Amino acid sequence: MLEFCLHVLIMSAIFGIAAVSLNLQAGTGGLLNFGQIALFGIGAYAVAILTRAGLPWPAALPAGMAAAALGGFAIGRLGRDLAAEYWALATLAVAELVRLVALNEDWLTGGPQGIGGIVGLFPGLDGVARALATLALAALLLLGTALMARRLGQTQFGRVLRLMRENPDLATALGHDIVACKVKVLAIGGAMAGLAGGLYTLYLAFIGPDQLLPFETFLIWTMVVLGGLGNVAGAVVGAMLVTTLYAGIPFLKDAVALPSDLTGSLRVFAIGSIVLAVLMLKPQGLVPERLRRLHAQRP
Amino acid sequence: MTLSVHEVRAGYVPDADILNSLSITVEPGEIVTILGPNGSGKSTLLKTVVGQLRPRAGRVVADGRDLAGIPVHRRIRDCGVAYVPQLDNIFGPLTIRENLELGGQFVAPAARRARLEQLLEHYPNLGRKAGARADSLSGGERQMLALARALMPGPRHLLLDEPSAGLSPLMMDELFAHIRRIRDREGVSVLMVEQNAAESLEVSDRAYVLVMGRVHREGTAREILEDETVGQLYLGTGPVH
Repeated sequence: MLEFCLHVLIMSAIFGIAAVSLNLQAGTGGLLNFGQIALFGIGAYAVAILTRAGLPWPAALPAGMAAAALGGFAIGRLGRDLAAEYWALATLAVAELVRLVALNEDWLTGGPQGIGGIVGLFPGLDGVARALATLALAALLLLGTALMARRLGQTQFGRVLRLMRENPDLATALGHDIVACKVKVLAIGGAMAGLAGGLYTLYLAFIGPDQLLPFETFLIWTMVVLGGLGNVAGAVVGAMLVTTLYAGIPFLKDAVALPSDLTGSLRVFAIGSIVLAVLMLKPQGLVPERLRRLHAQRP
Repeated sequence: MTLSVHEVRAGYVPDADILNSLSITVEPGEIVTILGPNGSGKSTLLKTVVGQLRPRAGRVVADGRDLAGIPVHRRIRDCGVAYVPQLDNIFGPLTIRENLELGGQFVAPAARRARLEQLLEHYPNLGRKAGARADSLSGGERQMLALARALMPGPRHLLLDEPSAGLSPLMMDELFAHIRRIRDREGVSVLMVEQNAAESLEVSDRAYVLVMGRVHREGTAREILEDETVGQLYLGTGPVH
């Protein structure tokens, strides 16, 4: 049971980083990135490929972040002239492209089998000690990512992101280069998502194309929406809640004697129901954005 | 200090020009109003000048500088152009003071503070409520705030898209008088698209009447006001006054 709890906490921290990344892009910047899993996947595969090539994880992880940042930059540049809705659809297509590359380029990505046998984090430790060390690292990186996202939100750049979210045309009319802002926030968000993906790979010692399905993007969106779009703490709370539910619901099958094949459907149904309930009862999310405090910056 | 549009063709879809070889000029310190029926290309003209729409042919020139290839944000920052959109032109959750600060983000901090205080003096209604949220203002006050914010960086050319839209007749008169005061005080040239022909012409120096993306009539505001044909056919006013 202890190991299961540690596993849930580690996964919460990893997806917490991915959710903070999406929250920066979508919650603060208003960018409907439906391809978040692509950035996560680029980081994950980059770390897998580099560690398989013999690079130690402390070097592979930043390299994975850089690769995902580049991916974010490319997505931002790619759709710079597209209207928001079309750009959102384009990001979904990009995520599928990344998954299809991972699925088909066996020589690089291992194809459908993925990349396994990766030397994970803290190879000198075993069992609970290893899980605790991984949790400490993941929690530290989540804290660092969350503080950075929070700080960014309080800077001039963060304020411009909010203007872009509220009224992009007016932000432009005030002299802001919203294309540059969009590219910058996607690169930063990409680096964060790449960090999450890299950690995921190192923790599970495996990455495969099934981890890059569009459903994963919507799971991260669920975390952000549930927690409270625009609030860093909300993204972390949402990630913990969704990850715990996702991992914990299969235990219900023992309690209520459900067939195993219904477990997967049940957890998707439960998460969907909770999202619906939150949207109806608390549409700003569990930890809503504090607009006034975030906006106000006296001269 | 002249703003001019030369033989511009522009539109939103291929092979469908909204502006057809259209040319206009706004001299320094002039208020020029663009009038015309719906679909005549008035707002398209402003979008082309501000850079939101790229012309297929022709040139937009500000102070002798061809603006081709210069994106919107650089026209605002570097070319002395300020643009006030018709709707959603303030940030409601922000205070009046914060809205004004946003207009001066590319001005040096000391100059920005001085300018902000100066504008709050010029707009006593806004000055009294400087700490209040902008979405607590009336429609007329919101337009005043949008205008004041556009003036923060000290532009040379002010582009206004239907500033009187949705205002009561009383507020409308006050707004147009205010636009004239801005011109007198700041020396800025004003290019204004309007539906309220008679009221806007009262404060304008010159006007253009657009029809089907072309200049159908141009002249001093007085000439346009007294042109019965223009009033009856295109402005929906009968004789304009």
